[in-house]
Parts: sequence; structure tokens; C-alpha cells
Amino acid sequence: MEPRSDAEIVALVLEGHTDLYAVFVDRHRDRCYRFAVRLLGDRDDADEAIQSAFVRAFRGLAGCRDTEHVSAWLLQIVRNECRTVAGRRAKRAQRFIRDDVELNRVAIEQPTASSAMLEEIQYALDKVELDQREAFLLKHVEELSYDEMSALTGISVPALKMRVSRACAQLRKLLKGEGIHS
Amino acid sequence: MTDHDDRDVNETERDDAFVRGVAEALRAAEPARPDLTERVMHLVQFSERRSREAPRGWWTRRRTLHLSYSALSAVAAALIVAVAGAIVGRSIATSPNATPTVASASAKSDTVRIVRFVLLAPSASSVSLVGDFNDWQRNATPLRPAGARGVWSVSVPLPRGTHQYAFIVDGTRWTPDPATSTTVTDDFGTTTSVIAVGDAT
Repeated sequence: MEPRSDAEIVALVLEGHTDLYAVFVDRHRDRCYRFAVRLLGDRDDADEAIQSAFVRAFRGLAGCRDTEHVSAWLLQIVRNECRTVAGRRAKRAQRFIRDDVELNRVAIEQPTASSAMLEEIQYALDKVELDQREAFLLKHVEELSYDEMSALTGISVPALKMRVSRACAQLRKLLKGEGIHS
Repeated sequence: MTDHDDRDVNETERDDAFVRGVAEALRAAEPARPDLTERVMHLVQFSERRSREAPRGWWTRRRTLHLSYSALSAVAAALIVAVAGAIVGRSIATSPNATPTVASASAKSDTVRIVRFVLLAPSASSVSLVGDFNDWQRNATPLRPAGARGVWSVSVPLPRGTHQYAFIVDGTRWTPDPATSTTVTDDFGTTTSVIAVGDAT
């Protein structure tokens, strides 16, 4: 039996089969979480953001106009929730900045070899400005087209290209000498 | 093609390879926490019930959500979406053999808030939170490594009131929260941090 499409699940949930929303969450949770973790650089924040996003998406299901592209609509909600969480985090930034300085003074245990590269990249990514980081992730990790990114963010294609380009340049600078190649 | 063109092409290829490498690493699987779907469905069903009970758009009104104390689960509490602060500091070891003063929970009200506890402990292999809200059980509330290196955190639903707490680093090291100056010290010299949740003073 063919698995139900997102559009079918949405239709059934809207008819009152609320339990089927769990199927929708299970289908999209890992991708959403990965995007949130990469964008926010913090697993607790990411978990908070996507939990909130899925609840918000449920409440807004009736307003989802294009049920054939629910995943793009959901990613938009996740993106907005991440920005809300990032905004809250910025309010406590002073303490993080102070501790970041402290962090650089202490000896840091070496991560395992398998995670070392990802950790270095995530660490560098956290240093990239949020708008540019988001554009980079949407383009190169989520592999959206610029038109899709523009529809999702409301930002013009040229501005998005500029953000991606700047993100690449900064990552290149931050990760210089790390020997990253495809 | 000139030497200059050759150089441009080579740089572009290198850039492409670099971006592909970074993107490939970032596309590594990052599974959501196992209980996410369950938490979401609890919240969804909770919202549905409340919506049926108060069909006039109850969630459009600003108000504090009151839950029974027995329903003090992170799932229901997260609906309140009140992350009350983040406290970061460097871990400072104190008497490793000290025992905490056990304080009674002061849950006069059944209102809960999600409070996030954060500790910077780069050399720790484990950190847990103990307090009057978990009967000072050192295995009850472990902190997880957060994004930044050495940062550990956990979010806990707490009832309104004043709570005493401390961190346990590496299973043995009693560590008051270095980011707060509000502490109490018992007769044996053990220092415990204090947090006021809600409008408690």
C-alpha cells in the first residue's frame, strides 16, 4: 500500500483525524531538526523551535494553501520559529559573549575523529551572520533553488545570492587550513 | 584561455569543492529527539481539548495558563512558552564530598514555567541538575551538551516559587551556579544556588 502523501494526511487531519498528524511529524521531524540545529547551533534551542513549529503548523493547517508543497510551508514555519528562538537568545547574548571569551582560554577536549570536522564546521557556521547562515543552509544543505528560497523567506533572489556568497566567503576564511574537500 | 582565466577557473573549482565539502558535512543526519512526536501530539491534543472547551479563540487572549500540579510534564508546560532565562558560567568546584541542604518545595501555586539551566563546563564528561524540585536526585535531571563547546543545558518545568539547586559535575562535584550570586549556605558550609520563578520573591 502506498504511503499517504502529505496532502492526503493534511486533508484527513483537517477532517478531524488528529492522530494522523503524528505521521506528518514523524515524516518531517528529522529534516526540520537538522535545519534548526545547523541554524541555531544549539540542540536545546532547535528542539524548542521545532516543537513550537509543529504545534503552530497544526494550528495553521487550514490556512496552508498549497497542500502539494506542505514541506516547504513547514520549513517556512520552522525558519520563523528559529528566528524567534534566536531573538530570545540574543537577549542573553552578553553572558554568552563573556563565556565565549572564557571558552577560548580553556583547554578543550578533542572530539572523536568522526565528529571533529562537523564540529569545526558548525562552530564556524555559528560565527556567520544569521541571515547569511540561513541562506547558505537553504541553498546548499536543504538544496532549494533561489526561487524557492525567495518564496520561503520573502527576500529577493539577488539579495539571497549575495548572502550565500558572503556566507561562503566567511566560512572559507574561518575554515582555512581545515582541509575540507568534497 | 589566458593564465588569468586558468587561475579563475581553478579558484572557482576549489571554491565549489570547498562548498560541496562543507554542505556534505552539514547534511549529516541529525535525528530529532525520540519523544518529539509524542510531545507535539500531547500539545496538539491539549490545544484541541482547550479549543473545544473555550471555542471563542482562547489562545488569542493573553493569559497565564494554569495546570494542575499532577500535570507537571514538560509537554504541557511547554505550551506556556516561557523560557525563563539562561544562566551561563564557568564551573567552580567546591567541596566534592559535600551534601546539599534539602529544602522543601514551595509550590504554593500550580503555575509552571520552563526554566533553562546552563553551565559552562568544558572539561566535564557529565553534568546533572539537583534541586528541591527533583528531590536532589543526581540522576533525575541530566544536562545535555549544547551547541557551543563545553556548554551544558537543560530545560525544566518549575512551579512558581523559590527553588534551591546546584549542578553535579562528573557525578561527584557539587557546583553552585557560578552565574548567580543568590545562594544559601548550610551549617556544613555547602553552598546552594537560589532561583525565583514567576513573581516569587
